[in-house]
Amino acid sequence: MRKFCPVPLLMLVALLLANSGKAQQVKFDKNSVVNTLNYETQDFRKKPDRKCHFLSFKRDTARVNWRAEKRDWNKNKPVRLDSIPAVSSQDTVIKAEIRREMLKKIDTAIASLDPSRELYLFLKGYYGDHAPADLKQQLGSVRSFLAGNQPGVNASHKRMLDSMPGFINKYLFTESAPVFTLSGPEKQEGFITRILSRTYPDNKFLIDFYNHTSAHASVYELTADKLAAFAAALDSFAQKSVRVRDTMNAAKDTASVRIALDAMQRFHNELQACEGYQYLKDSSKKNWLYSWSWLHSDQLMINPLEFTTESNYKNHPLADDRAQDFDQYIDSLIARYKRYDTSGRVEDFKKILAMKKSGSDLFNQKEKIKQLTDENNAKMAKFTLTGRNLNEIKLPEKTAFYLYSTSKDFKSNNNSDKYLTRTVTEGESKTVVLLNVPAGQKSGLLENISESPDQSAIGKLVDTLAGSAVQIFSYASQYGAAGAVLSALTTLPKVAPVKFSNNSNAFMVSDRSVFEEFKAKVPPLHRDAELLNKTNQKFILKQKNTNEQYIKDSAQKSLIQEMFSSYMDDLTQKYTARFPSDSLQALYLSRMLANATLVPKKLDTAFTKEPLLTTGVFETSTSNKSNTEIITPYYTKAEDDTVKLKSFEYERGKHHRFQLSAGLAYTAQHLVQSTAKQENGQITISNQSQQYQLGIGLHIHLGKGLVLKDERFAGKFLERSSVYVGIGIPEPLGNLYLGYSYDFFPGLKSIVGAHFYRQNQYEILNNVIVEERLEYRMALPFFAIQVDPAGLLKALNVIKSN
Amino acid sequence: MCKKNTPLLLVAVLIYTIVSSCTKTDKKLYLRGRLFVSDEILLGKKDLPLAQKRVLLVDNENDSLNFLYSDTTDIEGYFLFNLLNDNKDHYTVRFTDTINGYRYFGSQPVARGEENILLTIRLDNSTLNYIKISSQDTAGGGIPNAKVSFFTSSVLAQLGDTTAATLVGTADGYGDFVTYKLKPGTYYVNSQKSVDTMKFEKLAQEVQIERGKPIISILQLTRIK
Repeated sequence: MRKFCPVPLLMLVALLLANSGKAQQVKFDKNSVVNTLNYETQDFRKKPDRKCHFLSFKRDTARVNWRAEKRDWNKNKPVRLDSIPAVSSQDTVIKAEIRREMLKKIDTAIASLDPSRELYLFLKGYYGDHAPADLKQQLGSVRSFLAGNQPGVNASHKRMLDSMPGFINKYLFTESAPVFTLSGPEKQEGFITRILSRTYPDNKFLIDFYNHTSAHASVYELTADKLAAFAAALDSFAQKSVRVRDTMNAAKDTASVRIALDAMQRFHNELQACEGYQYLKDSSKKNWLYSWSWLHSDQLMINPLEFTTESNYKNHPLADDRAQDFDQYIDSLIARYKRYDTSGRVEDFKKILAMKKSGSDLFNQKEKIKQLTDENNAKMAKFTLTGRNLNEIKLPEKTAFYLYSTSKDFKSNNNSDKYLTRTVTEGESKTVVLLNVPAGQKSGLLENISESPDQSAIGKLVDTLAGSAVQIFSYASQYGAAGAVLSALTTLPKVAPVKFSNNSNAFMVSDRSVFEEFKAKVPPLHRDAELLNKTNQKFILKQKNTNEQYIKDSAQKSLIQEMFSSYMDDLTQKYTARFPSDSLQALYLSRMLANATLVPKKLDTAFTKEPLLTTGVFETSTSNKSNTEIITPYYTKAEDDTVKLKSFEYERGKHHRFQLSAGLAYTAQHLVQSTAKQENGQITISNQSQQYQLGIGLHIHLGKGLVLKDERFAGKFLERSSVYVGIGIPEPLGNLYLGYSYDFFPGLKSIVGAHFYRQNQYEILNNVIVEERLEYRMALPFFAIQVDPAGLLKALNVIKSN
Repeated sequence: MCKKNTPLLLVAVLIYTIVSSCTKTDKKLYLRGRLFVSDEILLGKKDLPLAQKRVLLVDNENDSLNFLYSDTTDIEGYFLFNLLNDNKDHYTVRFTDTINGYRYFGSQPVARGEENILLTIRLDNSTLNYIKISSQDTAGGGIPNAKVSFFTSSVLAQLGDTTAATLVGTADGYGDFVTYKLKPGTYYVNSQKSVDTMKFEKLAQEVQIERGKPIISILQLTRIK
């Protein structure tokens, strides 16, 4: 006969329930990933040698998120950023953006070389007719390279600008060094640290190209004094050009025209002789200007940088006259002390000597200079910054922790992670890793702890039954558009050719040849060899006809006058044509020098080690009480701007060595308890077969003891395991149970073991019980599902009352 | 991994054990049967259920003195023994008693859990003092309903007074009288028959009765008046 047994069914139900409780995978909201970063639970318990990958990465903020991937668990395999599509694509994008910006500037520079543009006119006047075309060709070559049309790089080049593609190729193409790098992992003091850093390929390119061009140009040798002198001189020429223009404009007769021409010629000669004017004419400085002509599009600048050298400010004109007066006074005092007896006043002399050249320190507008210096240094620091650490990611070496990110809106995710909600016990804590914390800001955990009953979920259930988320690169475009076009250029009137009358008495005939006589008549100021030769050639035939026989006669005089008149006509035209160019050059250079600053000889690269974002690793506090603990990670954006992240709540429970339980016990083996009674001379035997028994017993838990609040299925093996000693109800001495118990869920005890039942031994003879012995027998196995007896009693009472 | 799967492994083992243990057959702790008597000598019947008779449960079938405990048959002769859970599988059910003064005996080995035990008892011949007296006439014909009396004294037998007889009985229609009641010894037998005014008689015929030895004695009656 087979009997129905419900215990296996209960076990199967428990197994199904266990399977239904598998870890949930965190799902990410794609929309939020665009602007923020995600978080993901990390529980590396199973793989101590963890290798992480970016799960997501945002370039501007350098925020990262990590994910452990199975394929990277290989200990010897380094993590490669370029293997991460998000990062390697950023590298390509950044370099392409820089090249695009450069192309824009070069295009603007090429456009400014149009014949109608100021730069074209200046270059043509200053460096010659071919200069604009030459620069245009060089820029065009660079442009082609940038645009990827000419992949080849010309390493040998006399013109500096021709060397630029080489630097571009070195820094701004995909094949060059990667923008983002990841260090480590380095193990130290219980942490595994990786640092995400980036380089600024644009700055690296500019600095390297600058140092290359600067070394060849020697512009850095320019001193502040010289620069000031050059600026003052060119400023003077600029003003003079206005006056000469006015003189020319006011000329109404031959005499005044000559005066004006004299002024223009003198202006021209003086300008050519000016050191400041000639300073930039040599080929090295020309190359220097060409090399950086694209950076500010249509403006040539001695110093293309936004910053200058410190000496530029030390001798800044902001130093007022008092400094100079003071220095002069001290110098005179020193001179006086030297001239006269200073015995007995040596100490005073020392003090005075100490004050030599200290006028600028005393009377310079220090604050203003300091401000300028600070601004200058800030600009220099920004320009020379070729790399920096972005994000220091620090993960504890310990086996389990939880990753938070400051950028993630946890509200979009259910607080489903088991590590956060898992019950802890006495003295235990949880480790929370907060990624992407702004450097220098506070972060931590806010803890709200309250005591709560140390009761298992099963116990509560029974009771209920009873009662019921950087920097974006940009060029410094602050230099802005070119200044206003020189008004002098546009307002300079065209000078009408001056007609010299043949009746002029200004020319006297001498014994020299016609040409010599003619040249002698031309004032030295206006002797232009080119024009003189041109006039000579123009009248050479006439000279042959008059040289010998008509010398000193009126025909010669007439010829000389004719030549003079022609020459002056040409000269006037030349002057009037040249003056605008002279004027423009003077004004252009004046402005250039006025705005120029000293050029640093060499630029050093800088790397900022302080990361923008750091990682906070926090431990929750520990307690020996049964608590409900609510933890809220936070960080500060600013002093009064605290951002609280999604809270998590968990229970803290105690370990219990001993536990009571009650419930149904089923003995699989068929057992019969026989009882014999002697009544009225008869023996009455009764057999009781009861495989189901109500049992109650004591559990002695192994390990640290059972944690009632730990609601995980199965849990820790030793803690959930216990030795069970129980008795049957209602015959406690008739049924004893000894077994092994496991709490698949805390409080729900599954027991298996041996059932010892009482089976008295009777000696019966002739209807008389001769002897009766107390004896226990073992039945194998027994199974039991039991719960907390108090809860069971409550439930039974509820059932009974209903 | 091993640690993680331990509980699941535990569950699997438990389920297997439970299922396998539930397939075991129950152990029966009783015996049930019916008591019959078969005696064509005295009772002249076969397989007659015996009610209210005590049936003994015997542990050792060789022990004719002792038994374990007994049960009394119901009105239909059924008996039931509840057995102790003492792991014994084989017993003997036995009946020993007198019916109408004659000893009857029956024994049957049984196995635990038997439900159709048939215990048939029979007359115990080993203790019977069998003697048969045949009353005949001189021609050898049987004299029906002859009065047979046993005397221990020949003198009293010669007197022919039946009041002094040890046993008095009447022969059957064939002139035979059988008895098991007399003790072994020497007896003097009278057989008398009266027919109207005629009287036939044989007095003081000596017979020796021995235990377990059947004796047949023929008495020829003669007419005395």
